[in-house]
Amino acid sequence: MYAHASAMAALNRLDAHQKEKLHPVARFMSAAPPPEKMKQLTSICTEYGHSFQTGMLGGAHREVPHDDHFELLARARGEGVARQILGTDIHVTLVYPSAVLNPQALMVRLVRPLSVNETELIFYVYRLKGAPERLLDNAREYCTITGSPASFVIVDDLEIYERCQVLYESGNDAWVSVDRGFGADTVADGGLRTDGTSEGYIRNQYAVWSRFMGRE
Amino acid sequence: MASPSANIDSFLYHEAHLLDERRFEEWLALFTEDGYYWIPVSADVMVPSQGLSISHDNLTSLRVRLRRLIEPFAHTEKPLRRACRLVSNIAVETDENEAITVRSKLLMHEYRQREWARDEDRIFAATVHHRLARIGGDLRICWKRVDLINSESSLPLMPTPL
Repeated sequence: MYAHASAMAALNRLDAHQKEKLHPVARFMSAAPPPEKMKQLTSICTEYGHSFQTGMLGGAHREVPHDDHFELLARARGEGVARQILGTDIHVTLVYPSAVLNPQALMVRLVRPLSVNETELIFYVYRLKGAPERLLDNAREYCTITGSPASFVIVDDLEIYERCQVLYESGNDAWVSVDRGFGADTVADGGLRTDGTSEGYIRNQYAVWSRFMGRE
Repeated sequence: MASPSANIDSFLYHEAHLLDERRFEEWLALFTEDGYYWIPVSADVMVPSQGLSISHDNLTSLRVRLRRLIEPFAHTEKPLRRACRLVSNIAVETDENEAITVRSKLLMHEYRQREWARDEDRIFAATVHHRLARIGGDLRICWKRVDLINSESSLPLMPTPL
């Protein structure tokens, strides 16, 4: 089963007229790529455990829309820099071990372990100084839709994590399976390059963890 | 003849009952076309654009939220939670004839039987504000704002509306 399945199914039951009434961020969610498209994304994993996803927006040199944000940025920094900044195609960035940056959503997530079976997720939204107000409005809605305890997008994922936790505590020595995409990773620039559905970035984190803990 | 306040009380009790019974379509029908449902993180904010929210739904996103609950892969709903909402301390804050603002207290106990772990028992406590429009002889919800007493703390999953 893939992530957000029930939310995506519910969103896709809306007709075009109903979708128009969703906040632009929720409309964007409903256009999220299906698993076979996710495979076309690329994850880059570094030797220190960090990783990021790219390809979400169709490649590193996508066309940048000439909107009010572009205009403001171009006026302040020049068109070339504006194109470079707004054209950067980085989706979710994991800063090992416990932070997640999502620059397009102006969002920072902290994953804070509280105890052996409790983890707190803390979401922050930041404002880009001088940028159009709608960016902050979108960021706020994105955070509510994808990050709140009542988020209909992530609740099933978190439910499954909780159930896995119960299984691991049960003493049945269940394996944590992170083998998806194993063998298909390629090494580039000192890091791993995997497709968007590979669990390579998790294997990379375990490898880094065991190195940091003293095992060569 | 019933007093106007008796009318408001029974409306809020009826709303709580519909949610307890998971009669979500009927609950949705209580809202006006441009109605919204809001759980802010901070009690200080007056409008959703002033801060982050736990929920901020218009009718369409509420429909998605409620529709999700009956999707085959809605793992949070297997098995279903049972809920008991107590609505109390009802007071009319403002009355402009065509619409009124009502404050109430909500105490909700949720229970879920789990085969894989200890059963889940939890309580939500909140101050709730309803903006109710008088349309024809009926009351309809223009907005519903739920301020949980622990809205800024680390919260568990909340798939169903309060």
